[in-house]
Amino acid sequence: MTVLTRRRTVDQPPPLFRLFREQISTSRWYIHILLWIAVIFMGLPLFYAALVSTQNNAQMFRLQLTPGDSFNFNLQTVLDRNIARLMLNTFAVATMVTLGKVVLSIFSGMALVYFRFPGKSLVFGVILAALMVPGEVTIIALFRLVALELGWGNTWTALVVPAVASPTGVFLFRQHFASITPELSEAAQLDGATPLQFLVRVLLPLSRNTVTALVVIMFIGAWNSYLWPLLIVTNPDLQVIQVGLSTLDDGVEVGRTWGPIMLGAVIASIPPILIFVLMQKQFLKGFALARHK
Amino acid sequence: MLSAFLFTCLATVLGALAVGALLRRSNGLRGGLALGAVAGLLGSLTTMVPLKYCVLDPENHMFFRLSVLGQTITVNAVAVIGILLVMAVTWAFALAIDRLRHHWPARGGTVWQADTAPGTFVGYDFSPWIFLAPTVVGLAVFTYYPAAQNFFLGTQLARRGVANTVFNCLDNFASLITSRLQDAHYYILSDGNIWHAENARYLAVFGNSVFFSLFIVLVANALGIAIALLASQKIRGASIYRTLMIWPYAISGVVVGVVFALLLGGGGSGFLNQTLRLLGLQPLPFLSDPWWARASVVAAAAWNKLGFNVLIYVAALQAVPRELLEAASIDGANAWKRFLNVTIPMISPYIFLVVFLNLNYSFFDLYAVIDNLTEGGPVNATTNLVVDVIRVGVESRDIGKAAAQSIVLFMVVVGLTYMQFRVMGRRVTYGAD
Repeated sequence: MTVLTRRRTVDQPPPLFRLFREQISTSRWYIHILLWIAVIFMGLPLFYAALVSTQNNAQMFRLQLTPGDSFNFNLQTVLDRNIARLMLNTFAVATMVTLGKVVLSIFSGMALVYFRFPGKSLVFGVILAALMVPGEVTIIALFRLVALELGWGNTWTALVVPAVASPTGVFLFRQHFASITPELSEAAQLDGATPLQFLVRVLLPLSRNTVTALVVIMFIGAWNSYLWPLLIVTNPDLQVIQVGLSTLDDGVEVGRTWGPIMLGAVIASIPPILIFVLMQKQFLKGFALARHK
Repeated sequence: MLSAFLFTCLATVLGALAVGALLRRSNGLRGGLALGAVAGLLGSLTTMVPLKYCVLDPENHMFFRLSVLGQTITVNAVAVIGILLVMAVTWAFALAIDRLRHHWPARGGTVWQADTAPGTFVGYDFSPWIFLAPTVVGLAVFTYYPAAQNFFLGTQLARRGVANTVFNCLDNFASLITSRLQDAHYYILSDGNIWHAENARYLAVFGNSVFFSLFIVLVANALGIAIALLASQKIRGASIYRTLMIWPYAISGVVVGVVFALLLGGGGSGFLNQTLRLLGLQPLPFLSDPWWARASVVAAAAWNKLGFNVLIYVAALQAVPRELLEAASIDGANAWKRFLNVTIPMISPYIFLVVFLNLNYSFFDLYAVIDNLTEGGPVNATTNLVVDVIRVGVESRDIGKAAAQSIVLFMVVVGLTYMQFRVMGRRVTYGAD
């Protein structure tokens, strides 16, 4: 609103103008306070989770708002429950899925923009239509296919292979490549470059933001996926962190032991938050491009 | 055989009448009737031949009771599903034929011809297929094949982990609106109820999904716009505020679920209830009362999505042209009127985008949150469509019924996508862009 107030002063005589300026500074003050309230509101759940991760149940139940003394115990518990293994598994699976998605999407996007072949719009339509089908719609039949017909139950193959074909990625790269001037590929052809050389030397350096945007969404999506691994993987040695979180209970007390679970939740949230916050800018640029073209 | 023949004839005649009436504008009366007859014939044959006209067999029938204005009738659920199915497929055929008839000459040529876009590589006939193969094969095997498989499994008695299946007509679908064990009873404006349903478990599940979607969209968007209005101001540290607010986007549904379980449940004395006690108030049954539990799911999901909404709305608000707001204030519009009449229309494309993204999220991606916050309880109060698919298909091992439910989910996607095209297709801004 401040911006509006200031703009309104365009036709005002000087004394009034000064009056408005004072109003601006006070209203800005309120904005800061309101924004801090919003920030605290957004941060409170995870902040409290971090606090509880240092406490035992007794401290949590009496609403102790200072760090408790059970951090070491909680850490020992989650380590005993093999959180390191779970994190490593998740990292490996998420990396494979992300890498696969990005590489396949780049190739598909390239095929759809830089080549002529019969049935191109049909192929693009088939890929695009898959955007419409959320995984949850097919999950029962997919479970039957992967577990029963392919026999991939309890393998990482089941976690990675069905996930690597990405209509979102293809769409994003197709739009991005289509926005790059065709003169570049014409020039590359005149210089005798093969499509792969053109891809590596020209397209990839021009696609940093799009690649980053895709890596961010795909990695976070893969890291956070829960339902599919819950169904298809039962071997704890192969399990991912999202499913493993509920096993972080110490199993001694009746009901949930909140400390270890919250410690696990905080640890599990660090990688996606870190990636998202660090790559925020490129991520937004990559999307702005996709939206405007 | 005779009943099957009569059924097909009836579908053809009714299809001709219905489609003829609805599409008469683009086809003329006679053309519409012919189109409808063809669609009705195709619609009934393509659905009933694979089903072996089992809908007509009294052995497959299931019933529910319907009370309207005090009058109670018994309705055959299988027949209802069968008729809806034939109608839907007939309508799809009618639209498809209608479109092809009007657009085929113009578009038909281009579908199989390579386009002549500049900058394409010449002399590589096989490379594009090699580039595309993994994606197309992956989608065919892991998206399209299971999606098609749903339609087969939906008509089968199939158990999890067992390869064999047995055809059971439309049982799986009919059991969504009633059940073999106990007939469902729907009351509309009767027995003192405006609307009431007994033994209609799936309807309640559907209702939960709709409830979640409505309120998650409402809360996440109202708060999202409000916070974005603050965060888009030109103030010091604006980008820091934004970063501090959008990170929940990266948090998984599982973490959201367990953290909110700690805040709201915590074995009956979670953070919020302890705080209420300190303030001298009564603790609230956040996860044990059906309505509070639903509200808790909405709160958790809205918190998860809020950051992302703020991110988009900040970008949208910064793109609103200053001149328009100035013009409005010169015309004497106060802040609220400027917001309502200038800002909202200008950011409306983004509002639609975010609303549809949030709708998709709340229909399909709530499983992790619900499973870790309320586990679908108390007594199914927070079981939504996806949670129920897993309940039925994995826990109760009834793959056939779960496939039928997946098709309902698919209908929801189709509906949402159709709405999206209708709304987004229209111009929602005034100039700009």
